[in-house]
Amino acid sequence: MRWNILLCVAIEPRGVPNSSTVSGSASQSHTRILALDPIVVDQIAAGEVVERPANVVKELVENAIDAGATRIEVLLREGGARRIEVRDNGQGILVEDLPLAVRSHATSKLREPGDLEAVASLGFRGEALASIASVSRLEIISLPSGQKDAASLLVDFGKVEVPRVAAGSLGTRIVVDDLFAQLPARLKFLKRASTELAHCTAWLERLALAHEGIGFRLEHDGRQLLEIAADADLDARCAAVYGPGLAGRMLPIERETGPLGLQGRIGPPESARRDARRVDLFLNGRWVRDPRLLRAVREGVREFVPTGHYPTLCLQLAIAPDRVDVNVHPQKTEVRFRDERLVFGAVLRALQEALADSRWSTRSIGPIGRSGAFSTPTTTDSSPGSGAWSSSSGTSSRDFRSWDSTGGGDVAAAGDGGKGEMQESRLPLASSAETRVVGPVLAVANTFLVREVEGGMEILDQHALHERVNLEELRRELQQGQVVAQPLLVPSLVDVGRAELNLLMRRQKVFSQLGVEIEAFGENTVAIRTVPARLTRLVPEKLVRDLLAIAEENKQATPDRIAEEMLHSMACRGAVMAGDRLDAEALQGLLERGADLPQDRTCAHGRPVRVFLTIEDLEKAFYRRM
Amino acid sequence: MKFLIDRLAFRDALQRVEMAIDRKPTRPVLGGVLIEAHNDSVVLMASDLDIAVRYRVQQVQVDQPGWAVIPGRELVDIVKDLEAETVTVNLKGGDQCELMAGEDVCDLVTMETGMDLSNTPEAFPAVPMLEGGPDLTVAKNDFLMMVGATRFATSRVQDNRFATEGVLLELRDDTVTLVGTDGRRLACIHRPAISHKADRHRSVLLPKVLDQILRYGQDEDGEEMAIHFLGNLVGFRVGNLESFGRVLDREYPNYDNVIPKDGKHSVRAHRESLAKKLRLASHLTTDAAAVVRLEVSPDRMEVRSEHEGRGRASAALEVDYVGDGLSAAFNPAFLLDGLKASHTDQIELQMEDGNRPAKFTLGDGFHYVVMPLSTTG
Repeated sequence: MRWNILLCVAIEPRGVPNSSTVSGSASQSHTRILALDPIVVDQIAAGEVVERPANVVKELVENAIDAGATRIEVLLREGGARRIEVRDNGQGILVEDLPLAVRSHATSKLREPGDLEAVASLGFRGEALASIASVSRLEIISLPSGQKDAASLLVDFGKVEVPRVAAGSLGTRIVVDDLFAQLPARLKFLKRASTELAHCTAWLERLALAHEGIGFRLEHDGRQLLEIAADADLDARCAAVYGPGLAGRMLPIERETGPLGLQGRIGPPESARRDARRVDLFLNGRWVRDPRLLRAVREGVREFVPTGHYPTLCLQLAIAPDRVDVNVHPQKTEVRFRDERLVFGAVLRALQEALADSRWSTRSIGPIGRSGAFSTPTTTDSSPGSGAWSSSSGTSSRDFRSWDSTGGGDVAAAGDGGKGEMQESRLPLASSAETRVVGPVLAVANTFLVREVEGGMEILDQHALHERVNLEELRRELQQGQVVAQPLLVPSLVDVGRAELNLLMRRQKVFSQLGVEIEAFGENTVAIRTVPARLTRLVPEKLVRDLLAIAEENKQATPDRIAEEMLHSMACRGAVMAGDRLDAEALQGLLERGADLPQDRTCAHGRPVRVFLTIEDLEKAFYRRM
Repeated sequence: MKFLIDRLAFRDALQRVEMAIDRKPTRPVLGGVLIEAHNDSVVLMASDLDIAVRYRVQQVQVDQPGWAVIPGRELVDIVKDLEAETVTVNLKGGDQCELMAGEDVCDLVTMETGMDLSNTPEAFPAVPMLEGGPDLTVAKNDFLMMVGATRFATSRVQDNRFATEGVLLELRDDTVTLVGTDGRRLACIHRPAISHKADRHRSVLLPKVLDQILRYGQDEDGEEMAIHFLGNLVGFRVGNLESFGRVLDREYPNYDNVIPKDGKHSVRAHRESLAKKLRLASHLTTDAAAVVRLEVSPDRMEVRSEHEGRGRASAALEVDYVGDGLSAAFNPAFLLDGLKASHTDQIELQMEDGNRPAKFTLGDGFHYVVMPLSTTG
């Protein structure tokens, strides 16, 4: 779409005179092939780099960072569509270099082809300024140290004027006015000022997170939106970006793996949300949105955050520039690693380690939110057995909310201040080991187990708990090489395709480590000799389907990875379901096993295992305490 | 239809058909009980298409024959809570059936009614009549014991290939055999037939009908269980009770091949002491993947278990064994299931080695095969 429009502009006769004289004999009905006017070329190129004001902010601020600035100010008007002004105190541009700066593929950051192999600066393509200059009214005022006066260069939608002497302080000030004003097709695609501002803010926040040692300030229509001092550390930067409440609960990530260094902060599970907007990944200071890295994030948090959710995460990856190719995408948000597996694995483990050490009280639900997990519309009939709950919770719906998956997502979407996380619980941190069980257990709807614990009450999800119990026990057995297998009286035969059989047989060894011994039986049948002893309700055919799905989705994966996938699948398959009736003994057994767990907050899919209500919560629900 | 019936007899009869009342009926009529008032008796019927029960009550005085289908659960509950000694059941005009007991009156909305007993209900599923002589008769106590000896080993989940959620009923060479298996263990018991028409027969029954017979068959008069093979149903009659079970049409594993003929090692043990030691040891196993190890040396068996982080157990008992020792790991629940179903004081364990199937002989013609556990790594 965009291309077509721009090409239409290109074949208007404005750049034609030279070629028309040479080819006078050509038929008039032919559409001639012509070289494009350089300004049009830049405008087309701008389509790749500059889509909206936020891209301009990003490019200009990155230039400022590359110029060694320690303080960068961004001033916007009307979401950046009217004016974007970026001031820095960097090294500045020499007056004689000014015209070159706005020429495409002119850059100070690469010198020879070899430099591309190890790009250390944020920019390098030499496109940004030229692109911006071609679609806006751009002014550069720069004063490099050692030069007497500041110089100013004006570019009016691609037309470069002569540098003039101007008033300016040390560093560079770039003003971009009326972005896309002469390109109605592009202008049409700009959203409301508030939306464009949000995008600009997001970019500045990302850059601020990645660059300690640089101060950032953002002002919009005269109002200051962000202020980060140059000496602010990562925690202070997280507080400015994610909000102090969440930042205070974020956990540090610190890991060195060979050539790769990782550091950052990760937010608690209750701050998880359905989109990845709060996942900020930085590669050597550059914000990236790489699908493979995002996948590593999802895998790393899968046991802590509900399936399909992303944590609040700020993670900086440092790797030697020659081990990564950033020249994949014009906006440089995708990258290619020399050793993808190493990076993937390191990210995954770093997140797992950070979360495993955590002691969050995800079990607690704070007196927060609007409608919540406990809210039952008082007007509708409640099902039998839930009557007591709904009547008491009808009034409390404003006060309670569990951080369950839907709740978390909704709040994230509707959250105040755009911070998108759930509000902080006021409860002290607690782990299961610190909680003393007081009362008997009540099973509600054969799904939820309710019991009194010290300081309040606890509601457990029997399936989630059992799944987690299974997962931890299985994992321990696997680590000890002691998985108990139950041989079958007669090997169970399951028909599969020939290709599927090959896929299964390739993974024969890792399957057998988890108690599943398979053999090929003819060309398209697999014989199962043993099944894991704990999966007493397992149907061999279903097991084979599960294994196939795992093998299919992880064709290139290591055996460890396959084993991990199997653990999750088996833990879930072997667990009691919601609605399964458990007798008192089974209940007690399950709770006892649950008490021994190293991690008991979430099930293997990241859904919560338990929700905790303090006496105070209950008092509030009944208006005994306001 | 109008009759007077002894309340306790009515209650007991309803209890017997209760299991066949569909709790979540796909068609409303499956949640009903069909009451037929004949001249000398009242017959109750219920069917959820997996199981059907017909029960005849003689302690009645029928004023007017006829039939009606009445909501089953309500009828069962009401008759349970009535207090008088007799209940009058009267089909009034419209679609009301009145139950009257002393001062208490309940009107139940009927689902289908008829005055003429030769006009059978349309929507209510037909329950076959057991006419002519049975295809097979077995001593009632034998049969009930056989059900108890095999039912527990059936699979709790449905397998697409084998009908292991059912119990195999087989007639061959004057012998009746029942088999239950879940692929991990197998229970098989033989008893002689008293009489049989066919020489061979094989069907796999949904266990529900066997559960119903096991629960109520003992109370019925008569020493024989009459069995009728009715195509996709098998009918059982004892006393006034007729129960019908659906037959599963999937294959059943070839159990003969699974039962080892004999083994190198033969251990005889006292059932109750082995069960005690197993229970003791099973306290120190992890719940989900419970393992006990049986270590057999001459005249001694040790039952060992270990729960990481909790402790370990070792319990010993005297056994009859001659040989160079045997060691095998089992799921204690599987062994205890078998011992509970056993009807003998001395049981025998035969095994080729610790990795081959173990054959327990738990009574006359009662074999129980359990696959020992193995550990990876």
